Amino acid sequence: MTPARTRRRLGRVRLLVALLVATLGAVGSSPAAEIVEREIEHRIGADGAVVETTRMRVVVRSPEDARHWSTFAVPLDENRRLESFAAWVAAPGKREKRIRGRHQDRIEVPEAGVLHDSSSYHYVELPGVEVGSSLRFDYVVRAEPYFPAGAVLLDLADATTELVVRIHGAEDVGFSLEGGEDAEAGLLIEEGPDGLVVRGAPAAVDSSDARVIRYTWGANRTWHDVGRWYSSLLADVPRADPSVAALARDRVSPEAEPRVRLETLLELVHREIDYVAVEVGVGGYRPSSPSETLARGWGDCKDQSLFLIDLLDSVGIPSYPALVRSSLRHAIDPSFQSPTGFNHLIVAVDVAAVTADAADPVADGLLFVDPTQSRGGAAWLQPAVHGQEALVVGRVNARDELVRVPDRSAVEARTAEVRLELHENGSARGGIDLTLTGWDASALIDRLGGEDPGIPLLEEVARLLPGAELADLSWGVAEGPVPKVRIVAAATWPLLTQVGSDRWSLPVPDAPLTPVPAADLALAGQRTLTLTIDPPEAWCPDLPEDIEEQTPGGSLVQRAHWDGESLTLRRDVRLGVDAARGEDWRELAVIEHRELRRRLRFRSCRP
Amino acid sequence: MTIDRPSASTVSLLGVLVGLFALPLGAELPPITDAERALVAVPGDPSASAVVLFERSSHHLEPHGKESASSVTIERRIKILREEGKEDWSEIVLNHSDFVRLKEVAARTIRADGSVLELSENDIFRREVSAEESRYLTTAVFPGVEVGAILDLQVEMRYESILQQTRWLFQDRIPTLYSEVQYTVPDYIGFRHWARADPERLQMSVEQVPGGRRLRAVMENLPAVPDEEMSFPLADLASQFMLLPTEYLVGATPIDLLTSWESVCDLYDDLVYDEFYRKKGSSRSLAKKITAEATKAEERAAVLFEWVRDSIRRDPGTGVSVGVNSTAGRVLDDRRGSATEQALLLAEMLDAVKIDADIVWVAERENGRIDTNTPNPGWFDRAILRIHLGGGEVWADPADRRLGLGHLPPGLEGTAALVFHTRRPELVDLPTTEFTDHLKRSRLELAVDDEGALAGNGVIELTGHHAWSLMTRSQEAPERWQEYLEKRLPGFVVAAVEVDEDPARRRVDVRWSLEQKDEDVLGDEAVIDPNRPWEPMTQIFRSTQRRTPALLAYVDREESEVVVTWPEAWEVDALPAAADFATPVGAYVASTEVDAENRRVRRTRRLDMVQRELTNSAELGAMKEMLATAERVDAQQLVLVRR
Repeated sequence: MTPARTRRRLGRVRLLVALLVATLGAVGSSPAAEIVEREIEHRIGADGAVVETTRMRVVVRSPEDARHWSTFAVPLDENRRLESFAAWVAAPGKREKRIRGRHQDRIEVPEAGVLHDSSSYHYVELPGVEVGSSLRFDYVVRAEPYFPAGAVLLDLADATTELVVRIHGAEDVGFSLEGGEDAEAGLLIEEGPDGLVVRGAPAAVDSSDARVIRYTWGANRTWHDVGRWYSSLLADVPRADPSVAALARDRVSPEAEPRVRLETLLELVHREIDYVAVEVGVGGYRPSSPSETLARGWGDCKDQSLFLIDLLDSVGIPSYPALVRSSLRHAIDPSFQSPTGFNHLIVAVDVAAVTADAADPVADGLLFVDPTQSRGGAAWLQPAVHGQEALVVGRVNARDELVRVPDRSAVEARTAEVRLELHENGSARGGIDLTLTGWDASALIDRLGGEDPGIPLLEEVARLLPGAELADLSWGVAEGPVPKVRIVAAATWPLLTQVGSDRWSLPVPDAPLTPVPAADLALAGQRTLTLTIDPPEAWCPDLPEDIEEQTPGGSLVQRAHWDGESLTLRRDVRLGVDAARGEDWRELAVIEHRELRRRLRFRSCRP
Repeated sequence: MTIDRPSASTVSLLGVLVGLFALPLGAELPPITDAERALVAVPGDPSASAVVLFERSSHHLEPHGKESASSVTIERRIKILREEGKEDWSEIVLNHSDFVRLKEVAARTIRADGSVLELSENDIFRREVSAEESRYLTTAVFPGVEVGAILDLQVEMRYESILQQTRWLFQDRIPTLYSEVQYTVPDYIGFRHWARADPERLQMSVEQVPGGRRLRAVMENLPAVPDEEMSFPLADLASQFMLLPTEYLVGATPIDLLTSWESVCDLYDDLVYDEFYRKKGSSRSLAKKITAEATKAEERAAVLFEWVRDSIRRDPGTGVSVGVNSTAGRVLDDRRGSATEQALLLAEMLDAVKIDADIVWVAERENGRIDTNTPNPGWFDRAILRIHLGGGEVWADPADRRLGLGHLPPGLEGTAALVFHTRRPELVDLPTTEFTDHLKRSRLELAVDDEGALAGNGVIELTGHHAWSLMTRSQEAPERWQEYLEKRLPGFVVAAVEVDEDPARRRVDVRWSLEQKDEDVLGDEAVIDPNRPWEPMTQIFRSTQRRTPALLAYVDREESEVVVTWPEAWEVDALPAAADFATPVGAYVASTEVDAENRRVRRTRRLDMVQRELTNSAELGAMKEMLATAERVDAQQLVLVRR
């Protein structure tokens, strides 16, 4: 399987609507220039439309800036029209020149992983930008949001000397600042009866760390209101199609247990409805009709979810659409009632209608399933939705409220058993038995479709055993409720043990759960290593210390045992989903990477 | 040859021949046979995810204006054999424009049970990639794709030019049972063909059709082209075929088309480059102005090269032609142009300051080896320059901001090129470089203190293609290098990063200090990966059944050196092994020197990749063995412990 395919599979988890990005503001394109002024006004009209005015002045400080600022783009969509645009460039010591129409273009570039959507950009070439140039932009976008909400990107790739954001024109403007625990640092936020004003001088920030202010307006905002809004969108979608019901009844035996019905229909969607994203206008939120999805055999997360809901309904299992944020890094703000933080739709099945056990992703009487997953059953949820708040829409006898999707990262696991026999010449021989479950297993199964499936498997094992020569590879794939891959191989290390005069030293053959602390992203889960080493006769280990490290959201536990013939080392590392999504994983990463560097030692213990 | 020529003048007739080349539509696909319906695996390739049952590309060459433009129809029938095939083959993505116009898309899925799902119009999506440039992207998805489904596709496109012909590949990454290309050519166009295929298996025929002739080429039962690590490009490995229009009859007068390189250059000179230079804008006066202070020709050339390279933004256009209505003046005004337009502008500016330069057509290696024995501008990706300076020649590729004057990117090294000249076109091989020209060298000096913490400084020196690939051309280079180093030196704080980038010398120098993080200090032992900041080598060629030759990005030398000193209470616990492995394709050498008296150890390691193409099992085996040695030794650590 090619890397491109893996990327596409990962890409599917974040596609509810391109609107989320489109409302944030123009795409600033550079590092290190200085944005002298950036003034943004969002005026909310009585008709619910928002007139977004942006005025910005930039000074170019380096040749790199000049290159990056030679283009500029304003994101637009079916519900975001450009009312006016003007830009000027002033070369050092010269008068401003207005950018002419022939340097302006409209381009449509779908978001990565989306086959088609309605987003576009007003794209501008800025000829003659050089070091010392001053640029000025003044443009107005009229947005007609589907829900009374909007957003402004506060941080750009260049530092801003003076930022002023005004959001006004409606009563009860509420807001949420997205960007981590210290998001308010350096900002002055004034709330008034008519809106709010944000002032600051934000530093240059990578786009993945940029702060966003999301706002909404109107009285009595509750999650129930958001749910009702989504229900009203769904009300326009033709449902209860006989062809869908007939398909469900055809595939499910009337005698089948409810859980079997659920698993059968979930697998039907996995296998027969390909994931393809097409998002046009409000279609970014509203699904296609299940009969349409059935006829064409493909759909995005909304289409697949609604299709599954109707299939389940046909066999007597109630279920509901659940809006979630699918992200390994970000979560929605539960105190900010707006749909703009969601980017994915999954299905919440009424547990009263099916059997569920403790390991299933169940919360508040709902079993959460994600039809976009290409494998696994109802027991396995992809990790990007673990621990996320879900808005379950249209649940009978319940208000539409947030429900926290359970954290089932315990099934995201790597378990390795390594056995080694050390030889007097410093070489070692042994074997490994490695089992992956969950997301890593699913990703590895994706890669096995290539011409030589042995290669990705060998690469997986080699990560644990650098320097080893691997042979006798065998493996098994279990595409059951949770994806699982087991790999068994023999290993030989001509040079594992570094031999000194009276002692041997060798690294622990292991690979970390956490990335290096300087990395951007961690994945919750656990790994277990059981290492057994048989040294030659009359050699004894320096017994490694037992370790029990607990950090916020994670732990590392190590136990070692010497029985006179074999050294057994067991190491367990666990990382919870909240720690992985925030910053707390870094503390565990430091500990884990430090311990990975500690070596094992054997000394002659001949009497 | 019969003559059925239009009445327009020669020049205006030829005008419609030059432009952009298009793509595919056509006739009915043949009926599906029982054998095709029953097929569940391809004999000899049971792991194939899909199979091309039938593929035909039908070109109608018709160089007479827009309404009766040339067309190409592609008909393709694929059967999905495994789940992976669904994902790889169920989407349709077509790029087109006002010049290469999409006329029709038709598709259907024949499911395993025989039911037929037609692609509806609502499921075909068209995007305007650029309103200004009239470029579009049309996408669609076959409905109801499943294992066992047969996917039929027909696409028709229209285009104006018949000159930039591209090759038809009979093979793909999946097996092909039947592949055909056919060209219907009017009588007033002469042609010949070009093929790179087993002549025993290539079936070719020419038949008379009303108003012209039809050339057909067919190949059957072709295996998949293996998709292996660092493989040669598909266009090198697949069987292929192409028609080349050689002559255009105007009355009784033949006009040479792709007959010789002279005729090709003549056409491009008359119809493309003369038009480009029709409006030069201020290019000549600007050239004189910005070189006013340069006294020598070398200095003037360097100033102009750097100005074009850094001031003209590269547009995505490819090929050796230029955009419609593009002129040197407009490229200069807009400060943007394709790679070829950048080269042409630079040639004009050099001419203004009395420096001669040749336009050179070049082809990137990754797009497949070309055959310059067959004149065809479609072989080439873009133009660069060969500048005549001080009795010598200097290559200039102003489309890449990381290249200095005289340097070529790795993708052009050793490739065939054409020096454009209407009377004396010259075929050349672009120069190659030595592996020692592309150096990636690091040196770390570390000291263990009494607490067991490591600290010191590091230096990186990059030359040649390594400098090219990691050059940032940014004021933020120190921050980017700091991030790069912190990821590759885990457990250390990297500080005081200084970076010198010199594109003219193709050199990058980086210096920094590093200090082990408190939480990473073990106290009683210090463990050092001696190859850092470079990653330890891992085996690239793991397959035991390699079937294709390998192509490295470029030849190079990677060196690392680490020097560690320690206090009195410490000693060496483990040293990485020595190695001295030399083969014709490369070498791996590592050694460690311990100076116990001065409590100092020095580890050096060198990996040379000296051969870019590994074309036989001996070479591949030697490389694999060398990498296995490197992987084993690189995994070893240097360890110091408290006594």
